Amino acid sequence: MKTKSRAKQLYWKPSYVDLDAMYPPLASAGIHFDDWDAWDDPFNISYRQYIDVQAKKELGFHPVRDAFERYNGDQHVPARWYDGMKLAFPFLQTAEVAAGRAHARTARYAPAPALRAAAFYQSIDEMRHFQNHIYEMRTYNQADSGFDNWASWRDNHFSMGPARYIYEDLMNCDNIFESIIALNICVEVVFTNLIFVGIPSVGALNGDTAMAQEMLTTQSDETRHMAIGQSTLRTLLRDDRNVEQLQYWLDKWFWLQHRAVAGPVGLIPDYFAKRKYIPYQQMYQRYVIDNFIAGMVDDLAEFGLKQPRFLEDAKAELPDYSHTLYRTLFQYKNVLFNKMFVPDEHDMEFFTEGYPTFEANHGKFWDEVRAGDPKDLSQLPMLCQMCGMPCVFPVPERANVQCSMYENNAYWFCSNGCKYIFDHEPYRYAHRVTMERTLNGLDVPEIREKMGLAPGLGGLLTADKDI
Amino acid sequence: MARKTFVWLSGRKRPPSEYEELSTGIQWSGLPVSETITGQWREDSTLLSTDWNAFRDPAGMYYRNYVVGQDAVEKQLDAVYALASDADFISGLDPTWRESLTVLIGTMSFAQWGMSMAMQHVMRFTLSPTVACAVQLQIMDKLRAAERSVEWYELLNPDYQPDSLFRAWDEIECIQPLHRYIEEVLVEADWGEVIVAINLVLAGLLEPFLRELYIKGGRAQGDFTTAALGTHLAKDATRQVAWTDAFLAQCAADDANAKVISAWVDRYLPLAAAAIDAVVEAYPLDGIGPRAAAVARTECRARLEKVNVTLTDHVAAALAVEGDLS
Repeated sequence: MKTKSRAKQLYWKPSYVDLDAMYPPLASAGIHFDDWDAWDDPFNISYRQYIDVQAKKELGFHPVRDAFERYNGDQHVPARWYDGMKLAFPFLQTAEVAAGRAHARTARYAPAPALRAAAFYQSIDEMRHFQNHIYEMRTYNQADSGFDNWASWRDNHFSMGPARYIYEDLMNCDNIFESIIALNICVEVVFTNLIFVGIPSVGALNGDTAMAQEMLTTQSDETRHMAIGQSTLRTLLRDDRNVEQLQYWLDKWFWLQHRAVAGPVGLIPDYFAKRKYIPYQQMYQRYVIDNFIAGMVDDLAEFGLKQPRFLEDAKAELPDYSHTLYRTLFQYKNVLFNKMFVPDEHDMEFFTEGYPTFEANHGKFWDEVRAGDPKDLSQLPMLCQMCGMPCVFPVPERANVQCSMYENNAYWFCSNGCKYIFDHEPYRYAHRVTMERTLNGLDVPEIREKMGLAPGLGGLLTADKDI
Repeated sequence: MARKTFVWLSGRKRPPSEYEELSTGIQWSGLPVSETITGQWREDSTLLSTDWNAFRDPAGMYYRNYVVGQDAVEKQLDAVYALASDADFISGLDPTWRESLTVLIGTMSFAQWGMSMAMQHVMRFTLSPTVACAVQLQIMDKLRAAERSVEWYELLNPDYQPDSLFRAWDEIECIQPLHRYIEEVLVEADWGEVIVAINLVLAGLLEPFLRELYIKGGRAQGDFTTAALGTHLAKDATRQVAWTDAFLAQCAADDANAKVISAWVDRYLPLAAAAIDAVVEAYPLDGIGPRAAAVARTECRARLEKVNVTLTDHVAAALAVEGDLS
């Protein structure tokens, strides 16, 4: 197979329409580069090469998934695991669909021909990812009927709001370089190792070999996306005039991904995994701090790039992040589509050993639950205007709730990071109506109806299940 | 026990296909969550539908069957190209045919690439998730067509200069109407209009024209490589025709949409027909060119009638065919 990429050969400057009409300046406004035509794509792959490699990957993954389903792999998976996957896969599917559309816009409108060509393959990769995620939900659905209406939860449920907030916004960036920093750097470089390498380790431990294989094969594509993002960032940083804008996008999207992705992901190793791997805090340190900060951001310091503005905030809340989020969801278990459970002795031992402040910050909550207090709340929590997450962090008793005024209206935020982003671009985010406001005053049956929850969804896992 | 499926596909007599399970339900709805210029995408087509999820690609293609299937046919084309090159088959081709092919196949690679670029816009903005899936795979097909065309061009013309293809696309007079057509569609923002201008009108004429030219011309000239390339590209194009016609027929069931589609055809079809005519006039290829253009017109007309497009007088005139094609 000799076929090479002809992407650069096939680019032409328009003769019959304006260059600005074909490649609108809006797509790269404020970003400086001397010669877009000289931009380089580190992979420069051809259709032939792409198809050859991807067909091999597909033929490697699907037999594993088929075998899992055919030979009752689900029987070796603890029940609680499925309830974690109910949160994970609709969220991931939303992110991949938005990413595919964002890459399509880059493929059409990026000012550099090589970037456009690279985005062709990234866009179809995302189709692979969301369809393989749906394969997983399809497989789970044979064992656990709770996966049959994931699209409705994505559309209507407050717990999926952050997915739509973050990824629809990412898809709608006017500047394609903002979407590249958001997607190729802040999603793919920063968090995909955590999601698609760290979490499969936990999945394999809990018997979910199909999910582990699916996530690892997804990450094999992400590696290419990461390299494209890194080369884009490095290239743009060589012009001093770009540094301030790139730093803002890095600050913004790191924080949003930390909030919307890293929060829910943390529930899997700490709670929904019956068989534990390592505490989430350690996974985050390994895959995010060591890989991304030490491996990339520090390396780019010579160009004036600094660590993400809210990195220290992110690190500071890690000892509580998964615990606060799980506690909060537990209080709304009757309006969730997944089920929750009371952590058992083994869980509590793991938390106490892995998180020195767990007992002080969260122990009393679970003591009271075990004493008979269901802790149910009837009204939804206040949700952050920026990310859609509950305003409960770092711990509900000392929540860092922030407020901004814009056009005589008050807007509420879960963190300094979310307030900072809103204050920079209030016109972009002010019109969002967070779901707790639309559901204010409704009781539990009414909220369930509004969020399209069928009977049987949500609540507590029953004792006869291996939770 | 029957497989369980998703709520929105359940309750039917026929169980959903793997394609349906993987391609439906994927796009969310509701008010946009951020105010950006790009985000105002929900009003970007004149086409209207109450149910964008209802469309189905008749070929039922999704990532897995596409990639595995295309890998198999790409291997076939590898073998054909390798034989043409290794056995020095190319030097035995008729010089006039070879010279014409060099220009035609080389410049058509730009047309294929431009069609692929135009469909990226559709992929980003279409409101229908199932259209987005079909478009995504078509983009790859067109990329294949463009890259394989350049590859054959380079084999046919081993002394090619790096900028010779650009110059052909930019300077050869008979190619300019096609070149102009593609650029003008590339700046259109209405994704429905792009589907009509590219897939119904331009591809409606260009794909059967190239199929006839490459396969029948290749056969007549003893050029198995061009014939094989034509066969492969025609198979890909068949899938594109199928989804496009199914989608437009579904849209045209609404009278308002039917009028919009007919108006777009009225705008674009005479331009596309003139673009093909310009190529044929410069490269008649012993009568193969005019005959290929006539077949293309006949097939295009049948497609338009199938999707209920009202043929205005000058569309009908642009599609008129003289003589007997049998």
